[in-house]
Amino acid sequence: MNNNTKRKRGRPAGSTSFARVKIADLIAQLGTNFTITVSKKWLEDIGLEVDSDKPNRVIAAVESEEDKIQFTIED
Amino acid sequence: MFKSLIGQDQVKSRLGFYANLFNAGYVVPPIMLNAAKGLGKTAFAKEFHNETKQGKRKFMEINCGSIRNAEQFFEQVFLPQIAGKEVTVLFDECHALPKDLTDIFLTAFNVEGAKKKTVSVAEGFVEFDFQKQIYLFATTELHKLFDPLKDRLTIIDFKQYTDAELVNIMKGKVDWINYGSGVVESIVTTVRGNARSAVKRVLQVKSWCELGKISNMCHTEWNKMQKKFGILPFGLTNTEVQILRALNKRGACSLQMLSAITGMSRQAIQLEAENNLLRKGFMDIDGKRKITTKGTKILEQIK
Repeated sequence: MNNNTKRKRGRPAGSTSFARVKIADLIAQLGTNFTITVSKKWLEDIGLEVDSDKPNRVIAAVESEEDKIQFTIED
Repeated sequence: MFKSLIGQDQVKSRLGFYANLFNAGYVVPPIMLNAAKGLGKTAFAKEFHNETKQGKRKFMEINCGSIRNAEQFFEQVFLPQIAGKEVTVLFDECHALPKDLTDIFLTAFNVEGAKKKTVSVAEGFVEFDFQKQIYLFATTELHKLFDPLKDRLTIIDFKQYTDAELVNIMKGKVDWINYGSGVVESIVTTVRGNARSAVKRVLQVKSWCELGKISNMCHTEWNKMQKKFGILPFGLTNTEVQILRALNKRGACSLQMLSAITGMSRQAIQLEAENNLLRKGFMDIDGKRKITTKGTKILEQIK
């Protein structure tokens, strides 16, 4: 019988992949032209659209359909 | 009044009273239409509007699930479409109103017969003019509405339609179909007491008749149609039949077991399937889920 305990795999309990940081601290450290990686989901959430060929360039702020209240008017 | 709508006599009576009140120049309190899905909240709201329609009065239906906050509501909807205008507003699915707008409505609808109410919003004021505007609310989930707002609304409850009323709804929607003896009564058993389902079903029947170039719907045609559309007795769904079969085969089962057998989550079973089976008396819960004699008989019919 193998009594060796298995080495634990995977993410240790309590550890996380993301950290919260002030954007001002990032700019102070990296400058305004530095390219950083952010999640596409987060970009969508804050209403920004990126050109996939040039992922570091924000091309337009988009108004989400979710921002429009759905209503109908009839006589 | 409300002659185009079938059933819900109590609702008609109460809405009719408020329509007369408005037409006589008085103010209508904000009304809450409380009903399960498919019972006709929107249809009654529109008919109420027709009964109170004077001049260029408009009817506006707002999906409250799409309102994110009060500022957005006043900017996009209230100021351009409601303020100062003659309009009947229906706040559909009002249990989804955002908290900040609910808070403003608490002030706006705390009127006690007042003709106008001015409410401060952000840095300005907006005026609710109850002589020009009628405010209706509708929800399937009244329990989710903030209690103080509920207290300010006049609640009108709908009830389930009887089979006879559903027959009349179907016949009234498409009047050129001649049904054989007992056919429309048989069709009605498949619509689950729901007016919207009855309308959907009669439109299916209409399409069937149009395609087959017939105007008589007999039992043979209805049986053919049932097979074609997969319409089961009592309007049961395949999932409900699957649950009944599992209970018939295995005996009493736990919810967890049913979840494993059907591949549906426990919550989906409880919300989507069990209610109808319990209501129809095909299933019983006594600690565990069990099929009833009535349920066994219906399974034999389906075979």
